[in-house]
Amino acid sequence: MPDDQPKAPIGGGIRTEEPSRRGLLAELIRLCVPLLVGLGLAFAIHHFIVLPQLGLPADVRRPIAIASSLDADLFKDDDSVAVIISNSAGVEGIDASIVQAAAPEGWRVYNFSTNGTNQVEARLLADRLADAGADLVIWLFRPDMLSTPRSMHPDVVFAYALGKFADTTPWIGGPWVDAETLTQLDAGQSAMSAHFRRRWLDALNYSMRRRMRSGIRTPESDNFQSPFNLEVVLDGERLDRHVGEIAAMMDAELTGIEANGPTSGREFMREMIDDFMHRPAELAIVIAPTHPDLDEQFKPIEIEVLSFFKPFSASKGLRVGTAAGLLEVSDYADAIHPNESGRVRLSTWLGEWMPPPPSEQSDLR
Amino acid sequence: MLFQTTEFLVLLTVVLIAIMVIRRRRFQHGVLTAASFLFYGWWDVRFLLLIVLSTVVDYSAAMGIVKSRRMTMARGMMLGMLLIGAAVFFLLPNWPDWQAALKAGRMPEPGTPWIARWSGLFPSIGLVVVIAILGPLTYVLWARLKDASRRRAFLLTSITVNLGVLAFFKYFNFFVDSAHGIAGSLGYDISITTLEVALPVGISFYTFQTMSYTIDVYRGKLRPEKSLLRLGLYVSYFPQLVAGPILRPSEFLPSLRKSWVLRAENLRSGFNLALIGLFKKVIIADNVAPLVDVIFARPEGQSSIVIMLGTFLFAVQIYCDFSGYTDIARAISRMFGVEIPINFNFPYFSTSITQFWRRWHISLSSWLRDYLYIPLGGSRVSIPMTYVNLMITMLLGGLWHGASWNFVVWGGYQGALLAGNKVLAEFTSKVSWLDRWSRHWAVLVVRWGITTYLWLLGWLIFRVTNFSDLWYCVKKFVIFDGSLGIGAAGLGRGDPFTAVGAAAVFFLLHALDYLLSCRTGSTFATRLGTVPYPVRAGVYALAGFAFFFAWPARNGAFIYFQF
Repeated sequence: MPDDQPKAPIGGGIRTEEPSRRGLLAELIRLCVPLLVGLGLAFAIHHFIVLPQLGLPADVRRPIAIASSLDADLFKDDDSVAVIISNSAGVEGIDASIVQAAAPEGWRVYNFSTNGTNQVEARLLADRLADAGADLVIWLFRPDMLSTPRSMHPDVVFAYALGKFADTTPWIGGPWVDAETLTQLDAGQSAMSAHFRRRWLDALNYSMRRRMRSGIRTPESDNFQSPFNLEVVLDGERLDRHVGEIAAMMDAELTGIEANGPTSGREFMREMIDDFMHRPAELAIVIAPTHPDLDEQFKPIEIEVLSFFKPFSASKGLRVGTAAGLLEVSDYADAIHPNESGRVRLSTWLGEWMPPPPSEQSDLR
Repeated sequence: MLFQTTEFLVLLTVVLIAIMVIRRRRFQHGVLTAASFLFYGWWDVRFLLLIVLSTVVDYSAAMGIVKSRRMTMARGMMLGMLLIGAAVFFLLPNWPDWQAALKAGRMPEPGTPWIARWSGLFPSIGLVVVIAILGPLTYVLWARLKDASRRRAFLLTSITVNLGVLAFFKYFNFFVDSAHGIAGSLGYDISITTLEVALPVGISFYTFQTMSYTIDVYRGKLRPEKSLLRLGLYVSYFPQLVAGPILRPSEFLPSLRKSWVLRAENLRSGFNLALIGLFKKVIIADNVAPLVDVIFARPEGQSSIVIMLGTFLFAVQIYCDFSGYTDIARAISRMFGVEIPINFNFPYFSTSITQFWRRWHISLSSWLRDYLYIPLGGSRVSIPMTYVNLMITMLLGGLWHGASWNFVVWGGYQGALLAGNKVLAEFTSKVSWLDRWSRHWAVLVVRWGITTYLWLLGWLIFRVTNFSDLWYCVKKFVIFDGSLGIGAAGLGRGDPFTAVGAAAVFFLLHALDYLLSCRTGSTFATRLGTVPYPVRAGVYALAGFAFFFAWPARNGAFIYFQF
């Protein structure tokens, strides 16, 4: 048995003299100061050397790039701007140039999809894009987006903080965002730097991941046309595994999809649609395509989601479309993301689905 | 409340200051008990009632066993009132909603009701009222029995209440589900509904701890504790409350007879041990966990090499997680001036399964030995019965870990290994040349290899709860499929570099620590306390460095909390 006990008596057994408080304080300082020095030194090295060298992760850089592009007045030369927001389904599945070519003449189309986007992020993006002058915001909507809004990933929160997305967003203080996220959305450079302290590990893991799974490219964060990552196609056992994983993930993420309470996904969407009624930009919802192997799980949800949006189409002119059954197995890179042929089909379909630009129609609504 | 959180750091600081400032023993105990209640109630205030119930029942039972004059009818009624008061205080207010709001960093909604609305609220309070009324009456009834019967009656009452609470919260749904499964396979449909009840954190630990108090009093090894506050502190002592080591009353209660005094050498030694425990937990275990989770979330289709990697990493994770917790628990207690016994002694360097169980979770192994195996007859009965006793002990030890059949299988597996080991050891000891040969270093290395393989297989059974997945994993672990590629395994999300790197760091440091321990008899933690201050300061700074760069974004709970 190892002797890891101190040689000094424990529990005040033998020694009777009382230790002075000053002595204890001095000991505590001797213990804690070197630890804090180590922490401080690590922070300094990270903040001034590591992070500037490695930069932020690609998924974090993208919202920042979107914000800086919009700040630089990205749409200034465009008459009618349509923007697409979505998660990785849109990153992989939309080529804005194809959409633009297939759309009625006059549109300038951008793809602002970002990986892992949840409802709150999508709304932050939509608001910012509308404020920047977009005429049509198309949300490629995965059916699970109607479930209770999840917390934003902490990494991405800092990206939206640095992009100052939440500065002019009154709804952000509502029930959709927890207190910690709210604080992080207001964070400065030091807090952000401390948060990304594992950036070196992430970079190493990413490089290892690329070794283990070839066919991943790293597009520029400010690619607002076709920012796809995947060049590989999963098949056989690997595809089966991915289908299983997505099915399990969806099961977990569909919590509260039928709820109607004040913190439900439905209420979130109602509020967002109402909000867009008072903006010059139009919001449109397009149900994202789902892999045929997941049809059994998704079909009832798609019907549910469409029936939720239907009344808004009738009463508020919300444009709703569905690309749910559009793609075939051969159009997918894996269980969720379109491949090149899927990208072409989806982008073409989306372009054809789009309305004429505002200048060509009397009343968009 | 997790050890590696800011809330805990604040709590610890307050308790250290309190011990330094308050000199009166009773007040110290009051502060420590309050801190322990705050620590445990942080998860769910309602579960504090279980601690109070255990304390009151065992306090009364121990008094009854020795027929103490302190235990009058009036005192019994006061304890009953205390129980009812605790039930009303912990159950009736709307703690769940308030806690949820505060943990989310906001104030409760203006319309939040003051009275809790969870199902089972009033039946629970009603049950406690019944216990509080029946308790003193039962006490009077048992007290009239003759000596041996009285002692047995009080002991059985205590054991029944403690195991009853454990069975209700931990095993009720398990047994109902199992009964449904068995009846269903026989073509019957039985209608018993499961309960929507959360498992109180660490219930198995403090139940065993409090049971050992009554049993020790019954055996005459211990005089009953006169102070309810001191017994309450023994049951709820926060450093080791939720994941042990399981304390024996004789190891802890004597320390309460004098005031606790903070001493610089204890602070230093505790600080060193806490750093090591924290390093094991947050730098090793929490960085290995994501890859283990990815591998075992959907093991079917994975190759042998991936299953082996997952098993190996889980072995690292569970050791660093659990022994890290123990180190921190011991460190905190040491800072207060109270020594808690060790729970691990380099188990992964064992050269036999028997040795492994003498080195792994020592407080549980010795508890099972003293309170189950020996009372069953231990090895003082016939040889077949010895093996039966061993098997019963390990099966129940397996079930102690969790309400799932894989834990029962794991217990059975360990029992079979221990039985096999016992047969082999007895045979070896009878043949002198074999006995000598078995201790040759080369044979010891082989024995270590075999033992390692066997406990790794055991961890696989422990980790995979679904039987079809378990069967698949065991086949892949035992029969190598020849595939060496891991490219298709989808491990990317598990941060493979971090996990494998953390495991490598662990093995390097752990092996060095073991060698140091073999050569000098002291571990790294002890040596750290003896080196010159500049060297020590350098180590602290390095620890700060490592914590900054590798502390996970989210704090993970300790694995053994669920038990």
